[in-house]
Amino acid sequence: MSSLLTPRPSSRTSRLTLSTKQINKIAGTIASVRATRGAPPRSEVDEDLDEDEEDVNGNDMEIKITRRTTTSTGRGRESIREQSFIAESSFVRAPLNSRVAVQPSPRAKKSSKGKAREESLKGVPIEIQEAFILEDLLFVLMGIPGTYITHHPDYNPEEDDLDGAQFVVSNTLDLSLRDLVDRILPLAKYYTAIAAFIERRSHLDFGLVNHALCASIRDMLKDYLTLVSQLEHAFISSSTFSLQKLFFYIHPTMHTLATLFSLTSELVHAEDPEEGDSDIELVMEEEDEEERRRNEELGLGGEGLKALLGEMKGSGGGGGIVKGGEVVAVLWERMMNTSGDPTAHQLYRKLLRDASRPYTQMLTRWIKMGHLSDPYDEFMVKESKFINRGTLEMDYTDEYWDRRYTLRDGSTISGPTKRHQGSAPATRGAGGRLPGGACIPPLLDAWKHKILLAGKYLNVIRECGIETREEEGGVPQDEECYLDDDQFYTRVEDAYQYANRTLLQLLLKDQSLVPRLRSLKYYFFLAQSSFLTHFLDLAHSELRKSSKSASIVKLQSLLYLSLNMNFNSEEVEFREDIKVTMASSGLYEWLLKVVSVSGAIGGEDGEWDIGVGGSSAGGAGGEDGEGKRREDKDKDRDKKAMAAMDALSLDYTVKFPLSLVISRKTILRYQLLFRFLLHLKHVEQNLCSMWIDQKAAVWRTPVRGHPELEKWRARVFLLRARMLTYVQQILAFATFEVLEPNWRKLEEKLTKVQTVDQLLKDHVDFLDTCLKECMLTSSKLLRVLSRLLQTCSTFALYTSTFTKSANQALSTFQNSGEDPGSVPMDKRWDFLFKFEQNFNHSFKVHLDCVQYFASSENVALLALVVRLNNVRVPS
Amino acid sequence: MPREIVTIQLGQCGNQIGSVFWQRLCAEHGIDEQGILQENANEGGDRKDVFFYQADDEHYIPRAVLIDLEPRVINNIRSSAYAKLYNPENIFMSKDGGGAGNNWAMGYAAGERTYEEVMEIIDREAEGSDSLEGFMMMHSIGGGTGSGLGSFLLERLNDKFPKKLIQTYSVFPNVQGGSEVIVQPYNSLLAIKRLVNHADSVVVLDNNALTRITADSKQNEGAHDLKNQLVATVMAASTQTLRYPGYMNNDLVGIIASLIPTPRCHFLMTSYTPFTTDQIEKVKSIRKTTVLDVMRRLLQPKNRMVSTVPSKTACYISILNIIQGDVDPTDVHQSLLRIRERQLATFIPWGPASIQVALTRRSPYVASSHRVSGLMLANHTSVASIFRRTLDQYDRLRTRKAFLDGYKKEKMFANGLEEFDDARGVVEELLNEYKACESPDYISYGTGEGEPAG
Repeated sequence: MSSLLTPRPSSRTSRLTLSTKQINKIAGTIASVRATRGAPPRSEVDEDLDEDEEDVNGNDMEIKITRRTTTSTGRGRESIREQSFIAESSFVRAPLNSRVAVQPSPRAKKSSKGKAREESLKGVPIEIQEAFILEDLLFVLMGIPGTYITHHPDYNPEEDDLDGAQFVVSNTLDLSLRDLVDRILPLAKYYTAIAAFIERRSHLDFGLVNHALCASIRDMLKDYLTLVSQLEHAFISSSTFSLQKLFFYIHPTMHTLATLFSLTSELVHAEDPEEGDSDIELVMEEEDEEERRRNEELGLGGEGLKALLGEMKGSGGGGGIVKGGEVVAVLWERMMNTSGDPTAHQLYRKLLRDASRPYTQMLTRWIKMGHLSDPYDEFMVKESKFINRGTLEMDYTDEYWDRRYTLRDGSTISGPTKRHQGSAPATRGAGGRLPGGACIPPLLDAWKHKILLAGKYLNVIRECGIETREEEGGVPQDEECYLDDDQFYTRVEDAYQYANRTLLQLLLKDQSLVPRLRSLKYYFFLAQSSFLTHFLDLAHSELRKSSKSASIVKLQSLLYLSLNMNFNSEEVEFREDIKVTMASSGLYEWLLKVVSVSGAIGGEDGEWDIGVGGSSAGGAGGEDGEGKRREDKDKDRDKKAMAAMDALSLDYTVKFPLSLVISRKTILRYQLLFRFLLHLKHVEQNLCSMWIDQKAAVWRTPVRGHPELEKWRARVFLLRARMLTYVQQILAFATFEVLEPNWRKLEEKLTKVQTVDQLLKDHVDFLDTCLKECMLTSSKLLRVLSRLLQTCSTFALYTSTFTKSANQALSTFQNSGEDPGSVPMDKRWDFLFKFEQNFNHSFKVHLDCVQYFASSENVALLALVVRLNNVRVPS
Repeated sequence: MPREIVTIQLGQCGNQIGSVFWQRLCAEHGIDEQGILQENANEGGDRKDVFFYQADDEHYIPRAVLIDLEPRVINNIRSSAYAKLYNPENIFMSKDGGGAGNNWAMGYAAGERTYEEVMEIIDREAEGSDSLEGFMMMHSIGGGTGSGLGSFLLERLNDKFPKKLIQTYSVFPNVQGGSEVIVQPYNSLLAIKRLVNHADSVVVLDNNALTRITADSKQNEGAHDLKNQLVATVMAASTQTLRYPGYMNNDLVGIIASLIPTPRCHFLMTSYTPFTTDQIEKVKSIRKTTVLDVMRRLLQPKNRMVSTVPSKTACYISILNIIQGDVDPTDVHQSLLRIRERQLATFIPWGPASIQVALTRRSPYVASSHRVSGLMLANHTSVASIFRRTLDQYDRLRTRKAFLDGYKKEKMFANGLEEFDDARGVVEELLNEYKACESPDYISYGTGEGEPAG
C-alpha cells in the first residue's frame, strides 16, 4: 500500500479520462481482441450498451434472462481485466488510477450512439420496469450511466466530477419505483465524487497525508464495489431480488459513502470555494434526508454550511491545497462532531488513523531525531534553510534560534509577536482554519510548542555533530501509534523531555555553560576587577588616543598580558575568547538612541536591533539604506570625537551550541553593562589620581594667615570627595546590589532550569533586569547620569590646573610676605563654583529622578536613593 | 603584577608585626614557610602578586624590606621557620648593631648614615614591580628605630616617590606609665610630625587599645604575641580586597581616597571583629555573626584599636567596612538601613556621610569558625584625643626639660630644640583641624564671601 503512496515522478494531468476521439479509437481496436483478452471497461460498456439496445428492442421476458447472463459475463470479464491491469502503463503514471473504476464519459456514449435515447418505460409492466431499473442501478452505482438512469443534462464530467455525477431517472418510470430510485441515486453521486477525489488527490502535490487518506478511502470503495458485485450476484441468481431489497442492502453503505462524500466535498470546497459555490445548492438538495437531519442535529446544517461557503467566497478564498495538517484537522473535527453517530465516528476514526500515519511518522521522526523531512509542507514545523548557524556570529536578533524552525501557524511560546505574525498564512474563510501544513490538528494544538521544541533541541544537538539517540529500549519505533491515542502523547512528552534533557545536559555539562557565564561575569561585570585596573594601567597611553588611532591589536595584546598575569583560575580559562573592540558610538548616545527608539526597554525582542548597525563587526543587515547612511554619518562624527577610552569595549565569541545562549543579543547587553562599569571605574580612577595629586605638599601644608586659600582648598577637596563618593556609590550599587544579587538568582535558576527555552529566557531576563536596575533603560536617568559623570571626569581633567593654581597662590602668598591681599581668590572661586554648581545641580536632578523612578517603576533604585542621600550635597 | 605594594618593616616592633603579618599572608595564599605554593592551593581567585613575587624557582618572595638597627628581632626571624621566605638582600641591619637606643634623634641620624644602603633595597623593590602602588610601613613611633629611622624614610620616600602612596601602620605607645621607654612622648611627637606631613595614610594602632582588647580575652602570658596577631589580622583584612579582588576596592588608592577627603586628616582607626586566634578561640566565642551584627560591633568604641577620650562632638569623617565571608549583598543594604535608623554612627555635617562596604571573599586556605568577619577602617575625629594625649605628655616632659641630652647629641638638635617646637606646632594644628572638622562650617568661606553654592 505504501509503495503506491510514495511519489513518483509524473507529470500532472488534470483530467485522466480520455478524449472522445481516443475512446472511439480504443473502443474500435479493442473490440477486435475482445474475444481473447479481457476488454477494457470502455469497450465493455459499449458492448453492454449494444446489448441494451437489443434488450429494449426485444422487449421480452426472455430477454431479461439473456441480459442477465451477458451482464454476468461482463462482470466476469471485468474481474479478469483487473488482474491483467497490473501491466498497464497507466499504472506507472498515476498508480491509483488503476484502482479507480473508470467512468465512461457520457459524451462518449452519446457520440458513439448518436443522440441519447430516451428509453421509454411507458407501458412496461412494473415488474419489468423494476428489473430494468435494478440493472441500471447496478451500473449507476459504479458511476456508469444506464439506460433509464442517465447523467443529468447539466452535468459536465470535465468540471463537476469532484461533486459527483448527477443522475436522473427516466420520467417514464413508475412513480413508486422512482421514489425509491431517487433515494438510491445519491449513492452513485457519492461514489463518483469520491472516486474522482481519490483520482485527483493521488498526485504528488497533495502530499503524503492526502495519499494516505486516499488509500484508506480506496479500501472502503473496494468494499463498496464488492457489495455491488454481491448485489449483482443476488440480482442474477435470485428472482426475489427487488428494488426494496437493494435499497435495504445498500442503506448502511449509503450512510458511509454520504459521510465520506461530505468529507471529500469539504476538502475540495475548502480549496477553491468559488468553484464549489454554484453546485452547493444542488448538493444540498440532493443530500440524503437522513444526512441532512443528522447534520442539523450536529449544527452542521445546510444553512450553516451554505453561510460558511458564502463567507469563504466573500473572503476571497484561502490559499493552496488542503493537505497535511489541515486534512488531519478536518478529519479530527469531523470525528469529534460525529461522536453521536457511531458509524460515522468509526469511519472517521479509521480515516484519521490512516491519513495521519505519514503525519505521525513525520512527527515521530522530528521529535525523536530532530530530523525534518517534509517535502510537501504538510508538517506544522517549518524550516528556514537559509538561516544557518553561521548567522549566529553576527546576528543580533537570535534569528537562528527563533526563526530557523517555526510553527507554521506563526505562534511562538511567548505569545504571538508582530514579527512572527507575518509568517502565518491567511486563514481559510470564517472557520479560521489555517491552510495546509500551517493548520495544526486541534488535538496537537496544546502540544505544538513541545513538538517544535523537542525537534529543535535535537536538531541543535545534531548540528553539534552528536548523534541523537538511535533507538532506546523503551518504545519501539515501529509500534503503531495514533494521534487519538493517549499513548501518543506520552511519547511526545517523553521525546520532549528527552530532547530537553539532552540539550540542557549538552549546554550545562559538556559545553560548561555555567563556567562560561561566570567568565562573562568576570570579564564584563568585572567581578574581580583587578585585571581591568591592570589593563588600564598598561594601556593608559594607548587609551588616551582617539578611538580611530588606537591600535586594537596592541590593546588586545595588553589585555592578554594583564589576563595572563592573573592567577590560574577557571575564569581565565576562556580568555582566548575575549576580544577588545572599539565601539563606534558613545555609550550614552547609543543607549539614548536605543531608548528613544523603543520608548521604554521592556525586554521585548528586537528593539536592540537599532543601533546595532553602528556597533562593531559587520553590523546587522536588514536596515534600510537611508538609516544606514545616517548611522554611518553619526558613526564618523562620533568616532572622530571619541577617545579610545570611551569607545573601549570587549567582545566575546563562543562556538555553536553555546552561541544559542551567549548570542550576539546577549553579548550586546553584556557590552553595555561593561561599558557602563568601565566608565564608572574610569571616572573613579581619575578622581583617585586627582587625590594622589592633591596629597602633595602644596595642598597639604597649612597656610596660616590666609584662611580663604585654606577654605578654597578644602572646598576643592570636598567636591572631589563628593564626586568620588558619588561614583563609588553608583559603582557599589551597580555591582553589589544589582549585578551580584541578580547573578546569584540566575545561578540558582540555572541549577533548576527545566527547559532550554527557559534557560535562554532566564539569561536574557537577567541581563534586562541588570540593565534596568543599572538605570540604563530610562532616557531621563541616562541623560542626568551621563552629565554627572561627565562633570566628574571633567573636574578630574582639571587636576593639574587646580594644582597649578594652588601652587601659584601659595608661592605668591609666601613671596609677598604672607599678605592675604596679594593672592586674590575670586577667580579661583569662580572656577571652582562652575564645577560645584554643575555637580550640585545635576546631582539634585539625578537624585530626584532616581527617587521618582524608585517610587514608580524601578523599585530596585530605592537602595540607591539611600546611598545617594549619603553623598549629602548642599541644595 | 599590577598595583604592587612594598612593605617596609622598621625596628623591633615593626619587624615583629611584620613577621606575623607575613606568616598570615602566606597562610591566606596557601604559601608554605619556604615560599612554595602548597599543592592544594590552586583554588585561585587570589592575587599573590600584590605582596609577593615569584623567584626563578617558583618560590614566592614577599616584597618586604626588613630594617633594624639592632640584630635581635631580625635574627629571630632568620632562625624561625620562615627564614627562607624573605629575600636575604632585603634585610638590612646596622653594622654596628647598636640600635637607636630608643632615641628618635639617633634613629633619624642613623637613617642619614644608612640612606644609601636602605634606599638601594627599596629602589630595587620598586623597580621590580610593574606598577608600584605604594609602600606600607610598619613601625612603632615610641622607640628609636621605627620612630626615628621611620621618620627619616618617610621624608625621603615622599620626596622620591611623590606619586606613590605611603601608608603606615603605626603603633602608638602606651600612655599609662610603666613603659620602658621614658622618652616616648618626644619620639612620638617627632614622628607624628612626619606622619602628618609625609605619610598619606596612617593606620593608628594604639598600644593601649591593643592591650585592652587582647587582655579581654587572655591572660598576660603571650599578650605580646596576641597583639601582634591582632595587628597582623587587621593588616591582612585591610588588604583583603587587594588580594582577593572583587567588584570594587581592588586598589589601595581607591580605598584611601574615599576614606581621606582632606590630605592632613589621614589618621585612620580600625576595629576588627570577631577577633580570634588559635589560642583564644575556645575561650571567647561570638556566636552570632550576621552582617548587621558585625557592622554594629565594628562601630562600638570598645572594639576600636584606638583608645580615645569620648567626646560628644566627635564624629566620623568616613567609614569603610571590609566584610569578609559569604555574605548576601542584600543583607548589607538592610544592615546599613538599620544602622542609619538607630543613628549608630554620626558623621561630619559637611561632607559625604556614608558607610562604604566592601564585600570580599575569605581565603579558602584559612579556616574560620565565623561566617562573617569584618574590619572597619574609619576616619574619626576622636583620633585627635590621642594627639592631645601625646601633647600633654610631651608638655609634661618638656617643661621639666627632662631627658633632652640624648637628643642634643645628634646633629639635628645640636643647635637648639626648634624641631620639637615645630613638631608640636604641627601636631597642635592637626588637632585643631580635627576639631574643626566636627563643625558644620568647616568648609564655609572666610569673611566677606557669600555662600554661592546652592
